[in-house]
Amino acid sequence: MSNPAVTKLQKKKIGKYSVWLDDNIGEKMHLHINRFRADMDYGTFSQLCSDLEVTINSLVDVEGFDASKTDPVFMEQLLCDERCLLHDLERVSEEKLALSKLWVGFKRVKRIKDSDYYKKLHSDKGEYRKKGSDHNAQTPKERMDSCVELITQKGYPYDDKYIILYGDDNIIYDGQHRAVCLWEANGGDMEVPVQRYYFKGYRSKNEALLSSPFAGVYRAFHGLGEPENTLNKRLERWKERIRKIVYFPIRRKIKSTYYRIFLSKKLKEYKDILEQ
Amino acid sequence: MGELLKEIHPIKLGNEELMVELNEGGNAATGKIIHIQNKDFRLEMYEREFLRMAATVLRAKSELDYFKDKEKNRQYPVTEGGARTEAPAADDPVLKALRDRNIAYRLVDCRKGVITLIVDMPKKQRFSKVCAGLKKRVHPYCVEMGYIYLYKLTPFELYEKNGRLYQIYRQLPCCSLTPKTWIPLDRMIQADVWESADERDGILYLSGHLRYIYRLCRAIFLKRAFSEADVEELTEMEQVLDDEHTAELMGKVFFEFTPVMTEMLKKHEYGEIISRYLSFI
Repeated sequence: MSNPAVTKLQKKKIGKYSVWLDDNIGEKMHLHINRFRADMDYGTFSQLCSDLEVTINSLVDVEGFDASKTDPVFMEQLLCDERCLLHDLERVSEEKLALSKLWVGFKRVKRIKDSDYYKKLHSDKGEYRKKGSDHNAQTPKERMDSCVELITQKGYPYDDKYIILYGDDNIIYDGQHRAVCLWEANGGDMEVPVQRYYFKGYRSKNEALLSSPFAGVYRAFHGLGEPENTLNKRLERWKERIRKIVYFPIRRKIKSTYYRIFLSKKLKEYKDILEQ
Repeated sequence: MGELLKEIHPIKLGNEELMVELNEGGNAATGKIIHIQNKDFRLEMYEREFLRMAATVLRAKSELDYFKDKEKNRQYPVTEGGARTEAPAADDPVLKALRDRNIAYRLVDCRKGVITLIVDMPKKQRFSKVCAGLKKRVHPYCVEMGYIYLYKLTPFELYEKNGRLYQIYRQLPCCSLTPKTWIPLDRMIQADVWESADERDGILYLSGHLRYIYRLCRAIFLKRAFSEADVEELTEMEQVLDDEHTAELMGKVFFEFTPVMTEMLKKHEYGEIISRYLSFI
């Protein structure tokens, strides 16, 4: 009935389907789709994955894209998230770019040398697992170490797995660790082959920022010009919106003592930001 | 039903073969409709959902390969020290009260001043009423600390009397690999708890093969290491491994790994058992 050695491999809510896979040591692998369950041994599971790779390639049908050469973590987290960019992939191109021209980061982009990834390379921290694109049981430090080992032993690109950029942006979406290791070994002038993924309707970061509500901040930051008083008014309006969206609903949700202690700190943090 | 556009690729699931078909329907946001089907079965979803589902399965495979590879190279050496099982005092007031009240019990463990008992009492009946002076203490694995008890396992209780702690189980439990989760061992094991016992000095102990399995589970799942005391005790009790009934019960916990586990236990390869078990495919 109950196997104590069950490891949850993945769990996702996809449309109306609840999908999860777990490994039951000594028994078979389970693939659950809602209340339906398929039991597979490792061989069947591997066969299923190969079949799915071929199916994805047939569905996407873009020259240069190969599901079996794409990192599954990247594919699942970025290409197949809520937006499912993979469905809108139009073309893939390859080119050579100097590492110094590349950027990393999602919310705040930085040059490779100034990035957190580069700091991690020289840090002893990162022993504990954090949420991110790492494997479930992997610490950031283990990931960086394995990447250094891969680059040293097998070079770049290994197994046709390239650093991936979206559209005409030079922001790395997959391969940040590899880029950092290459910079460390060869410096920023090294030219590396990269792949660009072009999606239907994809707007570059610059384009998106200029049409967003934060366009004023962006323009001001880049010296594109906007009167200071307009900028301040915009900021004030956004502060007020954040206060309504974030502050009050969270206060109503306070339930347990632990949560209250945690939240009181969190709320103070919000308050400080809003009242500074 | 949409019109069939093309058959994409067959998917093999054991002996069954399912065809992935692209059908007319859906819209620009959802993509066309995918059918995964054979003559007896059909699963329908949008193209985007299918891509996400396929990516989830591929990610799961990469997670599995990573986990197994990591565990294969991992070391779980035998740790120093540990506590051996002691015999409780024959006149222990709680054990005496259980005997007097005719409540079925088995002594699971007695180490470092903690007596672990499994009692056959209705869930709602309070254990504190069994013996006067028992003070309830917060169990470190309590629900309030985030622990989960699955498959109707009754949460553990902890009592104190005369400086001695009593941990009370209602079923023989096992820590799960899923963090902060406890589950009961298989029903066959639970039934076996009450079918046999080792009686020493008037105290009913859990029978030898069950104590062996319990100690083994505790080392593998809870502590993730064998201590020197564990090794000594398991080696002393290893004659139970020759019993077919023990193998049958171990099979309810370790399933297909049981023969490998038994072999390794007989060869005293305690330092490699956990890594071999966790990387077993």
